[in-house]
Formats: sequence, structure tokens, C-alpha cells
Amino acid sequence: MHTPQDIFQQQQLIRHDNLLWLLIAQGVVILPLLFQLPLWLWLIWGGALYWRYQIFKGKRPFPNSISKFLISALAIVGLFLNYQGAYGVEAMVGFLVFTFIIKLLELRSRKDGLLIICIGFIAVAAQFLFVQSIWATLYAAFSCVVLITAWKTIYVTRELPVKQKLTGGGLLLLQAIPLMLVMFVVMPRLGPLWHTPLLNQQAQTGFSETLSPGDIGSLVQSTGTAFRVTFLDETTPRQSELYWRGLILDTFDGRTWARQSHLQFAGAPVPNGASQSTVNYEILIEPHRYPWLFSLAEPIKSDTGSVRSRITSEGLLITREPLTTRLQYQVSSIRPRETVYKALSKQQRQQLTALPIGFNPKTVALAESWRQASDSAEEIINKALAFYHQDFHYTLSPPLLGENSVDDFLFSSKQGFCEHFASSFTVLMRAADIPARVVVGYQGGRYDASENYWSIRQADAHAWTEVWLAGIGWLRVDPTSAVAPQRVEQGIDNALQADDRNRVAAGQFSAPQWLTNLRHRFDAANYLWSRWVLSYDAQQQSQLLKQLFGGKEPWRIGLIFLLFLGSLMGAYIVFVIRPKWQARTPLQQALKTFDNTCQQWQVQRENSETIAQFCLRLRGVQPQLDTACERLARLSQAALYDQQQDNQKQLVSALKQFPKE
Amino acid sequence: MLNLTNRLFSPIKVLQALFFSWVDIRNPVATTVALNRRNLYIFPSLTGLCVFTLSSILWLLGTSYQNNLVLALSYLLVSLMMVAIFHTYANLAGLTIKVLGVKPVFANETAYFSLQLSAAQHKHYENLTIRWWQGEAACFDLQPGQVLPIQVALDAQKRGILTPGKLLIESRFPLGVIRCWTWVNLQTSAVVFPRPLKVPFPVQLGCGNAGEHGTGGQGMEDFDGLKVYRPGDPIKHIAWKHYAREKGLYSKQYSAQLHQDCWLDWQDFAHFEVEQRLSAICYWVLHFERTQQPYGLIMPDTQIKPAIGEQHRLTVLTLLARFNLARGV
Repeated sequence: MHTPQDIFQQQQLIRHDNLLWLLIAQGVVILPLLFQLPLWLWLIWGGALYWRYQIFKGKRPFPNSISKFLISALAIVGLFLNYQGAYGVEAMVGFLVFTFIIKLLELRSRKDGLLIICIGFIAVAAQFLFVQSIWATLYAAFSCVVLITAWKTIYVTRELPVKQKLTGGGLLLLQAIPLMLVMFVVMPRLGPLWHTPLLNQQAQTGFSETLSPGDIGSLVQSTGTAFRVTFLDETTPRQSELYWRGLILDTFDGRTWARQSHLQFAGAPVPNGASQSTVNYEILIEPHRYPWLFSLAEPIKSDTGSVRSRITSEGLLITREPLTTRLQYQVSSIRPRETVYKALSKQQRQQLTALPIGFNPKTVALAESWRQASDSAEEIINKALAFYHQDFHYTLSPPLLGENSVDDFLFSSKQGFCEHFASSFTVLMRAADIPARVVVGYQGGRYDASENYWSIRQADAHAWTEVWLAGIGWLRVDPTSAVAPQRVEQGIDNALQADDRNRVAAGQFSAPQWLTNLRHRFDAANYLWSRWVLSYDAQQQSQLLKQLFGGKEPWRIGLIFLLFLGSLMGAYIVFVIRPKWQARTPLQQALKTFDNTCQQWQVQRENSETIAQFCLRLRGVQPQLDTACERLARLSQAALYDQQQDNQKQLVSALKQFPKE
Repeated sequence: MLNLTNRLFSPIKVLQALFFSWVDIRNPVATTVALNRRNLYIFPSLTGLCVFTLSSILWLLGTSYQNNLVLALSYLLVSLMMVAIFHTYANLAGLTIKVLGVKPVFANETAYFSLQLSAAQHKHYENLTIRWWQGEAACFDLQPGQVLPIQVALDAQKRGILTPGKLLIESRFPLGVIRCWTWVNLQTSAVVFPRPLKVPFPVQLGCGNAGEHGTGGQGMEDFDGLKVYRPGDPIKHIAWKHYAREKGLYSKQYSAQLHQDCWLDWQDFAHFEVEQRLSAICYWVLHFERTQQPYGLIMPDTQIKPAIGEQHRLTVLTLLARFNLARGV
């Protein structure tokens, strides 16, 4: 038999069920992180678990300080080697997870348990640095339930079934969520406080800074959303007009297109005043780790919030740093024809017609022949498009091309994807002495009517050409549309042959209808999630607060908090405290009914008057109630002195039904 | 003056004194106390402070990375602390504490104050800590509606009347971030007998043989017959053979017990200072009780006639315990 004092002493130590809960919580929390970190951390985890189990069994002691030091030193060296000394987020998270795991070997007291819980919450936060999807959030919520349960277990000495414990933890979380939401909405937002190390492991997505045959073909087969667009105007452009420009490539080495340092030219396109109709839209872009954003030609105004960006003279939107976080930005674009026309300098013209010497002789000869037979650049363009229209095929799996890739494509294989068409067309134009460049970006998108947004996937990646026409300026020409017009009109889903479709995004297009619908619903949910939760920032906050409460002054926010806490207290009083005030015994209730009944004879029972006394008085005033009064007096005496359950019940019913007998 | 400087140099003690005087005004001394809004106090604990710091760290992390979910997690921790306020309060509210009593102890022993804790209906009380202000802590749980007798220990350091002071009942359930507690003023006190001090028996006294032979002298005494066992009779004197024959429980009577009465006279121990004198008398009281030798007590202001037995012992020892308490014990 333990005295309460002994129990108090034991409380300071970790109990067995407590230990088990802490182990489970830790496992749940670090599981998603372990997939992001070096594989040997799994081994360390397993080893630590085994060791702790041996300690639990009493077969092994707690590690002494020398062995703890050795293990830590080894792990730090391991992490250092793994990340080549890079001081990045992964290395820090790796170290966090390592200390988290190794803390198991010191887990003896309640304090150690609390420390485990605290590191657990940091680990949940670390997980959010890698993934922020709905699924990740749901998993994190589950982790929180387990963490809170383990936390609570430290302070509960009773033995409870697992389900009841988990329910308790979940309930605590549910009760905490309303206040959390209020804080999330109204707490002031600040910009980044300092430059933070980036996640270096995350791969760049989307296309790279160069374009070779086959690049887009493989990109199209990767899953994922590139960005999502909401048009802010009444009218939206047609799908065939949605050319999302990202990057301009203007030097060609015979096989690969690359970009020169053109992006340095600042100065947004200037409207010439011909028309005032701008297209305004909002883009929510996933981080792709490149310094460019997407827009329709020609952007004249942009708002990228806290991310610094500018519009180049080529009509591209670029950021100062590679994009590492999800970003929501707004752009206003006008038609290219409506911008101020700036002539090319001689040097620019030379650059934009340059071709590697000695490559693709047949192509150069063909273009030369067109140039001699034509009067204008437009005529050459039309000839080229007509040439493509003859017998070219739009396919994801073109044959391999040789050294003169454009010659091979134009005169022998005649099968290709958009980059083949854009590349060869640009070479043709340059050979015909028309300044031309390759543009890469996305074309089209899928419209979601329920949430009114366009979803642009990696599968929508596209390449096309822009040619310079004297007197007009830059003109977009998409040779792919000459071969496969449906690509531009209806999107890539309808432009490909059946066997190609299977290769795009791992069978995304060939899935059954219900699955496609489900995927679209989920995409819409993800969009809403990204737009309203993940991208909720100071700007959205001030808009929302203005809408809801008419401003975001500190006193207003303070008032909201007070109101919220006040209503919380009110609810507590109404549901917890008040029922006690109102609680009456059945007899008290019946007596109240009886008193109300007696109101009709203008007789009022005094508070100190017993039922028997009152009945006597009532009989004197209302003789017709004689028997009823007599019975009630008798019953009340019986209930008082012969305290049986029946007597009381009879009295209660008699009081309620009085004067009926 | 010294008192004042002490106070000036320890602001925490000043605050505590202020707090306690406030507590005393709100909660007068009583034998039964129900815990409610009026006598429960609530404040974040050290763990709560740590969790708040953790929340701030997460907030910094979330702000630096502009990561809304990390921010939400940070707010969740704050929100959990808010919710914990209600749970921690509810874990103490409705509890009733009643004084049952306390057995007298000797100085330097531990007094166990018996209290009765009654839980409210439909409510579990998890992991409560209870202790006297300067006592040792104990832990207990309560089922809904349970009535739990509990003994709360306090070291009795000196002879006299031990008033335990304030009783602390504390809860940190469910997360340890909030501490809800109460200081209850209970009407109870323990009698603390002097600590026995073994000294030679003053020879002037008439029953000298008891003193010379001390504890070993029983063998010399003559067996004088049996009497029915009463609780309090020495175990040594039980007639076990008789008991084994199932004839009932008897105590052996020795003729020494019928010897002349012994007087424990305050004046006889004059060569000791006051507390030691009381301790010495206490030792001899216990000795005479062990040897079943009737004894009387002569104190400067009172006198108790010779007798023997539990009741007599209690009277004598209580008198010793209460002797000269005017000095403000």
C-alpha cells in the first residue's frame, strides 16, 4: 500500500503507460520527417527505441555521459557529411529530429516528458516547412491529437482505455480550435523578419533555363499544378488566347535554346493609349525555385506583395530571388499591339537573327528560297505555317534527332512536340532574316466553374515563337497550332493520340470519369486551401477585417478578442453554472406548480407556511376544496414523517394535479 | 526595524504576505470548506511559461518563413493554454474538505491530520496535490461522488499545540501549463507531546526501586494473578499460554504494579532547563505506563493524582504539552 506521499514522489517520474504514449507520439510526429531526411536516421530511431525498451526491461542502464557524447558527435559528423556542410533547413531539421530521438535515452522524469512534447510540436512545425497540403495538415492535426494525449497522460494517474484517452486529447484540440481560428484571422501579420536559410533539397519544378528537344515532352508527363489563375474582370480571354509567358530564349547553338542576359533590361511595356481595356488577374503560383513568374502579354502593372519583382522590357515578370514559397500576385496586362512600339537596335537585330554557322544547311536553304520568293515577312510566316500544315505530326514520342536536329525534324522525321515546332520555326524565321525568339510557358488551362478559377498544370507546358515585324512589333506565332489546332483550342487533353495520353501525367487523362471528377474536386479544394489559408497575409487580412469589422485598428482587434472571450465565458455560465441555479428537486417543482394553481383563489402561500397549514387556511376560504385539501395535508405529513419513496411521489403528483383528486 | 528591512529586501515575501492576508480575509477559518470561485486562484505555471515561449518560437519561425500553418500551430498552443484554464479550474471546483481530526504526536515526529475530501457528483478529480504550507505533498484522485479520508503529514518540530496553518490543494491537470490552487484555513490543531528524554530517575522519590531496575526490573516482580485484557495493557504482559488454550485474552498482573504510587514532581527535575524537564518527565510517564506503575504528576500550578491507563497518560502528556504556552506557541 502506497501512502499519498509516496505517490507524489512517483509522480515526478515517468510511468510506463506514459512512456508508451510518448514513444507513440514521437513516432507519429517524426514519421513524415524521416522521409525527408537521411536514411540512417531510421536506424538511429530503431536503435534508440530498442535501447529504451531494454532500459524499461531493466536489462541495460541509462547511457552515461561519455556514450551520449559519442553518439551525438557521430550524428553531427554524419549530418555534416550528408549535407556537405550546407547550413540549410534540412540539416537543422535533421539535427532536431536527431536530438528528439536521442532524448528517449534520457527519458526518466516528468520534465523530460514535457520536453519531448515540446520538441514534438516543433517537429510538427518543421513538417510544415516541407509540405503544406490539406493531407499534410490533416496528418498534423492527428499528430497534435496524439501529442496532446501523451501530454495529458503525464498529468492523469488513472488507468484509462486507449480510446477514452485519445478522445480526451481530441476534445481538448477541438475546444482549442475556435480561439486558434480567431487568432489566425485577427493577429497582426508581419513580413519576414530576417533572411532565412532555404530548403535546398526541394527540386526545381517546371522548365529550366534552356530548351532542348524533348524537354517539354518530359515535363508534360510530370504531375502537379504549376499555378492557378482567377480573372478579376467580367470577361475572361478565350482559352486559345491564354499564353502564359515565362521565359524568353534567344540564342541557339544548333540544338539547345538558351537565354542571354536580356532579363536585365528594366522598364515595363508602356501603353500607347490605343485602348484602355486591361485584363486583370490574380495568380497563385507554387514555388518552382526559379526567378520568373507567369503573365499574359503584355504586363504593365503587377503587385507581388512582399516578394520583390519587376517587369522587363520584354514583357516578362521576374523576381529578385528564386521563388521558394507559394506566392499570390496580381497582374494587369494589355494587348501587345497597344504598347508603345520601340524599334530594335542594330545590335539587337543582329542577335535575334543569329544562327550557328554550318548547322542545319537544308533549313537555311529553304528559308532563303522563301525569302527570295516573298515580298513581306508575313508572307514568309504564312509559307512556313503552310509547310507545317502539310504532313507533320504532333506527338509526345518523336524519333531521336541527329546533329542537325532542325534539318532532321523538318525533312525526315516530321514528328515532334511543341518545342520541336517552336525551335524549328524560329530557326526558319532567323534564316529568313526575321528577328525571332522562342517563348516558353504554359498554354491554356482547365477552368473550374464552381470556384471560378483556371488551373494550369505542368501538362500545359508549351513553347512558341515570337517574331519581330517592322511597324508592328513583336507578334506571337504558334507553329503547333498549324499542326494540331486542338492543342490550343481545347487543351492538351484533346490534342494527343490515345497512346500518348496514357503517358501524360501517369494516365491522368485516361482515368474513369468519376476519378477525374474527384481529382478536379480535390484540386478545387487545394486551390481554396492555398488561396484562403496558405496565402492569407497582411493584405488579405486587412481586406477581410475591413469587410467583417470595418477596420484593423488595435482597439478593434482587442474588442474582438474581448467579445470572443466574453461569449466564451457566457457560454460557460449558461451551460455549466446556470443549470445548478435552476436545478430543483421534483418536490420543489411540484410545489411551484401548486402555488401557481392557488393563485386563482387569490390565496398566497407564505414561504414559512407548511403545506398542512396552508391547506387548513385554504379550506376556510374555499370550502368546496375540503376533501382535496384534507388529502393533500395528509399526504404531506406522510411524506415528511414516513419517508418512503411512494409517499413523496404521491405528494408530488397530488400537488401537481390539485384540486383534482 | 529589522523586520522592516527584511521586508524591503524580499519583495516576493512581501507579495506573499499581502496575498495571504487577502486570502485570510476571503476565507475565514472553518472546519468544512467547499472549493469554488471565491477561494480558487489560477495562474500560469512555469511549464506554461515554457509552452508560451515555445509558441513564440513557432511564431517567429512561421513569420520568417511566411508559413501560415506554422503560425496556426503557434496560435494553437496559446489557445490550448486558454482551454486548459477551464479544465484546471473545473478539476478543483466543487471539492469539499472537512476536518476529521488528528492524533497527538511527540515532538520531532510527524503529525498526520485526517481530512475528508468529498467529490462533486458526475466529476472526476485528477491528480490533485495536497500539503500544509510547510509540509510534505501528497497526491490523490477522486471518483465522482467519492468520499476520501486522507492523512496530510506535517512535521511536529516542537512541543505544544501544532496549528498547521494553511492547507494547499493544487491541480495542474490536464496539461500542466496552468496551476489552480487554494489556500484553505482549517480549524484543526494537534497536541505535540514533549520528546522523551532518557534521564536517571531522581532518587528522592519514594518509588525508587522502579528507577533502579528501570526497564529490566520486571523479572524481579512477583506474579500476582490475571486480569481481563484491556486495550493499552503492555503486550509483554499478555498471558499467551492462556490465550493459546482459548480461554480468552488476559494480562498478567505483577505485584510491583501494586507498589506505592510514584510522583513525578516538577521540582525534582530542577537541574534541567524547562523543555528538557518536560522531556524527562515525558520519558518517565512512558516508562511507568510500560511497567504498569501508577504515577502522579506535580506541576507548579496543577497536580494530577496517581493513576494508570490510556486516559491518564493522555491527560498527563497533554498537560505537559500545554505547559507554559503563553510564550506564544
